Amino acid sequence: MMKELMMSFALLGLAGCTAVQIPSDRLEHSQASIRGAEEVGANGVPAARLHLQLAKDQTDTAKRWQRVARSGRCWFLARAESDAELALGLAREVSVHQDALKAAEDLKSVRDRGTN
Amino acid sequence: MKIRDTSLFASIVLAGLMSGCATTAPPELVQARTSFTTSKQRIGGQAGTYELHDAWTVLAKANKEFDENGDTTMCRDYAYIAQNKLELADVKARTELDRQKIAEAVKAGVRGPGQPGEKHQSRAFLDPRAAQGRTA
Repeated sequence: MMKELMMSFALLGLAGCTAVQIPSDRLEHSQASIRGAEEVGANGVPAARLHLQLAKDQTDTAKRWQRVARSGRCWFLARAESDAELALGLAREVSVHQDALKAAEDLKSVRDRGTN
Repeated sequence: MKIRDTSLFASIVLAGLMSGCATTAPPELVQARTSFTTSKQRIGGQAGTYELHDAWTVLAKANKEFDENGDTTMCRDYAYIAQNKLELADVKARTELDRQKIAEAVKAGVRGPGQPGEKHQSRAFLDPRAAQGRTA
C-alpha cells in the first residue's frame, strides 16, 4: 500500500516537472518572430513597434510564469507570436510601400519622357 | 401571496440579468467578428487569403469557447489572436498590391532589384513572394 502511494507521488511529481518546462519550440518561434520584426525595421514603424512591444512583453510574461500552469504560458506565447507576426507584416508593408511609390514615380517619369 | 409574487418577479429579473450577462460577447470577440466580415469583403480572392482562413479558424474557436463556456480568458485570447491575424491579412493584401506596382516598373525596365542607394529596395526583394511578383 505504502509502495503504491509512493509510486503515485513519484508519478505526480514527474508530471509536475514536465508541466513547468516552457515549450521550447513555441518560445523559439515567438523569439524568432520578434527578431524578424526587428530586422525588418519594426521599431521605426509606430504601429509595428506597438505590436513588437506587446510581443516582447507577452514573451517575458510567459517566461516569468514558468512555475504556473503550462496552458497559461502557451497562451501568452500564442498571443506574442501573433503580435510579432503582425509587427513583421506592418514593417514590411511600409518598406514595400516606399518602394512601390518610388517605382510608380520612376515609371511615370519614363512614360512622360516617352510621350515628349 | 404578495410576497410570493414579489419573489417570483425578483427571480425572473435575476434570471434575465444572468442570461443577459451570459450572452454578452466580450469586446475582443465582437471586434474580431466585425473585422472578419470587413476583411472578407475587402480581400476577397487576393493575397492574404491564407491569413484570412487562419483567422477564421481561430475565430471559430473563440465562438465555440464563448458558446460553451461564456466570456472566458481563453475566448478573449482566441479573439485577440484572430484580430491580429485579420489585421495581418489586410496588411498582406495591401503589400501585394504594392508589389504588383513594383513588378510593373521592373517589367517596364524602369528599375531593377537592389538599386544602389535604396536601403528598402533590397529588403523588399529579399522576400520570395516579391521575386514571384517580378517574374509575373
